[in-house]
Amino acid sequence: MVKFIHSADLHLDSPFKSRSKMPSGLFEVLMESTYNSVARMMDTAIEEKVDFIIIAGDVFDQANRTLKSEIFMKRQFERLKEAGIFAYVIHGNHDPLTDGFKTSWPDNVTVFKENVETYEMVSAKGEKVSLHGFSYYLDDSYENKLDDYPINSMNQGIHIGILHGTYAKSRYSQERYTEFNLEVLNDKLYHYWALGHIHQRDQLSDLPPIHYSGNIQGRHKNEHGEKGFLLVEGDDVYLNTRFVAVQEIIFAEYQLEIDSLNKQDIYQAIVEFKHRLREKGRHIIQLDLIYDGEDTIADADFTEVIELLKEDERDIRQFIWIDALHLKYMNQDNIALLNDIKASYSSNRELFKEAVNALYMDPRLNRYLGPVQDIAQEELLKEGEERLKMLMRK
Amino acid sequence: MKIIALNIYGYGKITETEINTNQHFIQFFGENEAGKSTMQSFIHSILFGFPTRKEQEPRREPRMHNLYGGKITVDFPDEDGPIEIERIKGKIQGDVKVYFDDGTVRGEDWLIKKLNFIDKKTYRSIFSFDVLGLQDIHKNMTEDKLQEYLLRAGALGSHEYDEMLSAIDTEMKSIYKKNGINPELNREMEEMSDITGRIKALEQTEEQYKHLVNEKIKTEESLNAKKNALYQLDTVRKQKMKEVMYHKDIKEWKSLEDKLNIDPVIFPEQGLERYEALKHQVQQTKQDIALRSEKLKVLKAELAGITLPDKSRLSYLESIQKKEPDIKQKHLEYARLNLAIETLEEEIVQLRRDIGWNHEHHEVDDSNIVKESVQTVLSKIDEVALEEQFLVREIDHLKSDIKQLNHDIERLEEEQISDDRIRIKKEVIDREFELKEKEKMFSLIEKDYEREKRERNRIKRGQSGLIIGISVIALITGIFYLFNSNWLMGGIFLAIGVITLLLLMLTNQKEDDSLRNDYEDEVKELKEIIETIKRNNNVDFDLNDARDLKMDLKTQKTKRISANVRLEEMKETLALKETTHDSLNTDLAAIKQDLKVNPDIENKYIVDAIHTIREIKQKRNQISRHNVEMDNINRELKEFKRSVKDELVKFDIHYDDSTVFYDVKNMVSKMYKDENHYNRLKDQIGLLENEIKVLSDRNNAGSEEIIQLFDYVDAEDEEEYYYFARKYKEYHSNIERFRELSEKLEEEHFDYDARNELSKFLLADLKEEEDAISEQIEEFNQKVQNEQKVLAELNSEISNLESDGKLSEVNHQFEMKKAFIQNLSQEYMSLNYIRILIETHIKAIKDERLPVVIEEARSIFEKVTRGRYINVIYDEDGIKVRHVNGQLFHPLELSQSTKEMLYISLRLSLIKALKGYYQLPLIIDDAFVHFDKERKKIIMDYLRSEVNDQVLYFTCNLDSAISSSQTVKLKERVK
Repeated sequence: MVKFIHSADLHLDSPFKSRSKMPSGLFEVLMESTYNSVARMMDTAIEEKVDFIIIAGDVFDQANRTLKSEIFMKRQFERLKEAGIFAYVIHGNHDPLTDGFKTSWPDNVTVFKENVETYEMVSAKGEKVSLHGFSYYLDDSYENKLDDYPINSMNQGIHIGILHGTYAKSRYSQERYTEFNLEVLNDKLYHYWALGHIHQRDQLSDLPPIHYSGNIQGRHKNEHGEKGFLLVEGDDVYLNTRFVAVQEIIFAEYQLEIDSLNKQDIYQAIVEFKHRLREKGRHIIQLDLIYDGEDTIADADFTEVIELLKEDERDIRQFIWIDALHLKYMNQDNIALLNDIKASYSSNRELFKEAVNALYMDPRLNRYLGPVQDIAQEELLKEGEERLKMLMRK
Repeated sequence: MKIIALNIYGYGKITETEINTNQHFIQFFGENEAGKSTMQSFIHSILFGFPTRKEQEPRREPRMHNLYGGKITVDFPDEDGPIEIERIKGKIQGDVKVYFDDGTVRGEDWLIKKLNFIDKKTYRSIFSFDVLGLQDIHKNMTEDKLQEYLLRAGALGSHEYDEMLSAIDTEMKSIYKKNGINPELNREMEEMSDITGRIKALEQTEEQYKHLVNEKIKTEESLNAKKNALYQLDTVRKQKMKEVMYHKDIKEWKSLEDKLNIDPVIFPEQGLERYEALKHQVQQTKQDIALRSEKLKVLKAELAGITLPDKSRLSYLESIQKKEPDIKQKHLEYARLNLAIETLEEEIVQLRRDIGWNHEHHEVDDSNIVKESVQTVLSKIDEVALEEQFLVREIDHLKSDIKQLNHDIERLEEEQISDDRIRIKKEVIDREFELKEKEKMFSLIEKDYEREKRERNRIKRGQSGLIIGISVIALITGIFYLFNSNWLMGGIFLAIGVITLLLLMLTNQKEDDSLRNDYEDEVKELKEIIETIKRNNNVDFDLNDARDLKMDLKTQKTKRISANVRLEEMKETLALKETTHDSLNTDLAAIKQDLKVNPDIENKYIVDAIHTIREIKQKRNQISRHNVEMDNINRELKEFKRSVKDELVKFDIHYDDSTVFYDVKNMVSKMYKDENHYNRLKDQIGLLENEIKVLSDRNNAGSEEIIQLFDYVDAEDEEEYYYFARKYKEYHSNIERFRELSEKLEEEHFDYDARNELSKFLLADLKEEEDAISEQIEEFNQKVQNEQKVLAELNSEISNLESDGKLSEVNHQFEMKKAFIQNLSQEYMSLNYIRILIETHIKAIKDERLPVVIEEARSIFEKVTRGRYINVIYDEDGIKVRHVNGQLFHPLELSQSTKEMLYISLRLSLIKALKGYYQLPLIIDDAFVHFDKERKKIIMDYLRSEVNDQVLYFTCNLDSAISSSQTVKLKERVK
């Protein structure tokens, strides 16, 4: 019987992406959230008396790789050392080996180098466990090293593959590093594959178990739901996995139907909704209000409601922060005049580029903007229309 | 699209109306208030929805009718057969059903699509003409705006774009300006550059970390080396210090070693102590022997002077001593009995006095029988006395009752009322009752009568009025005839008049009220009778009271008789009781005589007297018993005295009752004392003799032992013995010290060679060496301290960096702000995109559609002005028209009607231009009021012949040129 933790994509101290400006109290909770999640994972490791933990890449985040995070990690590893737990770490595209260490880990931590390596250890119950993996040397230059993973031909002990890479069938569009398919992994005849890189928790295969543990704490609206790690337990016949949530904050999207556009009513409805949600922990949510009626609400009034809701959460520990609040009118048509325009010109890429370039041509500003090709024409048009509708309701 | 028929279920004041409009051009004529506007609104509402709250238009829900809405039958050029569009009350804009000729039904979606998504506002601004719109231009628009309006209303159908553009522009400016400072995005950028600067600075600080860690490791290594050296030096110094410390010991050790290099000295174990103890012991023993011999002599002399007493005599005296308590007890008993007899005698005298006896009468019977008979007699006397008292009290009571009763009867007899008066009172009451009945009857009759009378009077007044009328007419007719000199007729009519008047007077007479009066009289008469009786007799009392008084009197009399009877009975009983009392007293006197007590003794003490007699008898018996006892005691005492007296003389003791026991006791104690003293002396003598023997034995042994000790060391005398003793002690202390030092130095790791070596050095040399080493250590310590300070600084700097999360925090802020900036930018770009689209659209219209519209407008304008204006030009300055004579005119320079012509031309051309999008009926609401006949004819002809779409023309001036088949006349309907 061997017991270990499979985690990945800690992205320690990774900055959050939010749409609205947050009060300092919330900001502090956000800043500490990845730390707290990791600390909780270590607590579990010690409580459950696991044999070792695996971190399948992206321990740190290059957007905020500071001494603070490294020292924190060092302290956590020291805690594991005291409890006699080993740690096996590979580095991913967000924290490649070249982003050198300023500190050194305690000796219970094993870091895989840029070439595929195998480490062996003996569990508390005496099984021999072999771990295979490699770290990214540079974030943007890599070669597929899957062929270098040794094939388990002797079938002695338990074999675990650690890999930071992209499943060929996933829809993940950017950073498709180390693409693989199940056939290649299956061919290695390992007992477990601990994958990292994709932040959504996923089971790719049951026999052998191939898992993405997902990241340990959501960082923006697209990383919604509970986050945590996998607690794996079993022997060379089968390894069972159990998900353990340790996130500090849940990101989520919700819809709320309202039947009045009176600003007090809207406020009240949202406050009640928040109250229900609050029991389930801290949230940062996007809320769409669905309204099916005749009335409209002035932009100023709606802004007032938004400000009021933000003010309510200022000093609350168990907060429900509404990052974006949209009001959707089910019953109101588009602006008729725009229909014609949209039909005539929305396919004209030149006009879109002109609109976008207004900002991208400003050198002081464009350094903060994302890649220009990331901006979707459709979305921009839709957002503009929504915004215009709001403006015209004044 | 053509509207074939309107079917209004209920809209405003129009209800349940059907109108056929199946004409290309149709004129709706109606006066003001006939419902023209309602009709237009109806058409708009059915096609595009009922007015909502936002629109500044009434909903026109019928007030007197419950159906809202209606149906329009239309003809689409591309659909087969007529289509019915029905809109009725439902959701706010109404529920729509579209019925096809083939029976299929469709909903609103189909209709909206069919109308090409045009909305009500757009429809109105393109297809509806009304005079108000034109008038607004004159009144509200400045000259310059007219151009704009003409262009926009004509070319684009709406000025909404302009509103949109200005709203977007304001918003965009608030978000970002290229070189601005205040817009949100610009401000955020400013803050961002600030944050970036901080990040750089912090990153540099963190870069130092690695350097610091290296430095730390280096320092730690050097520090460790120094510490090691220091430790070794310290060990050397400690060694030196030890050598200095033990140098003295080592020297001593060396000298002892030399001294002890001789043969060992011998001496007996503990020799000196043993010798001195023995010497002391011998002297002590000699002294003790002398002392004891002296004491033995004294004791022997004392023993010779003491004689031992005889045993038999001693036992005799002791037996006398034992009898002492018994004799004393007997004396005491005799005295006590004597005292008791005296007391009893006194008590008997006292008791005799109590019951009046001069002598004791022992023969008197004091048995219980006598006592009980006395008690019975006494209780009977008490009983009789109590009954007598009770009877006397009862008699007194009854007497006072009788007195009270007599008094009451007297009073009641005075208050009695005579029987005559009672009778009269009864009569009065009867009559008053009769009177009441009659009055009631009378009031009933009177009411009936009044009602009848009123009825009669009414009839009578009617009759008399008629008769007077007839007579007056007859009289006037008569006079009329008389004036006309028709004497006969005049006479006749006059006569009739007079006769009728007379008749009236005859009938109008009074009627009698006889029945009513009779009753009234009767009542009066009764009242008088009652009054008379009341006056003559005093009947002012209550009948019931009088009867009660009579009854009371009777009751009191009966009570008095019964009280008298009871009084008599009680007196008899009292006499009987007194006789019984006397006989009992006689019995009691006889008993007293028998008891020989004082006859004057009170009855209640007789029983006590019997008890006293019993007591006297008892006490007398007790005295005689005491006398017997006393005799016995006296005899025993005399016996004792006689036996002892002679014996005691032998012991030289004179017998006396009081002192004999004391003397015997003295004699006995003296004898015992002598005996004891003799025995003790004898024991002491034996003991002393033994001790003297033991002591002299021990003295001999001690002297022998001393001689042995002297022999052991071969000493001649005590002096020599002591010399050997000192020698021996010195030798052993040296050995002890040598061993101690050897051990101590061994413990401190000084081996034999080292000791020998060190004993050759001088102390001063060693001390000098030690000082040199100390100095060296001091120096090293200083260095170590310095390095430790450096290391502490390094450590604190490292831990500062480690605990400083500022870079992380600023990075968070940076990313957060970046996301915020991206969002703002996205918003800005989206608005910019919309703005660009709208502007492009407007430009496209200007470039593509406007020339066509202008050209069409020109052709229409030329036609409707009969060729007086030949061109409409749209240039940078706006719109201009060219007169046939070649002059260009600004619209302001045109006449009112021409200006309107131009406006209409532009609108019609626009409709033509939009033909591809919309084909809808035109609605004209009296737009031509400013036109003269000719102009109106021209424009009407144009509308009827040249316009392809259906035209609905609403007017309040009927154009007779239009055939009646094309005219619908609306009338005001009032229900």
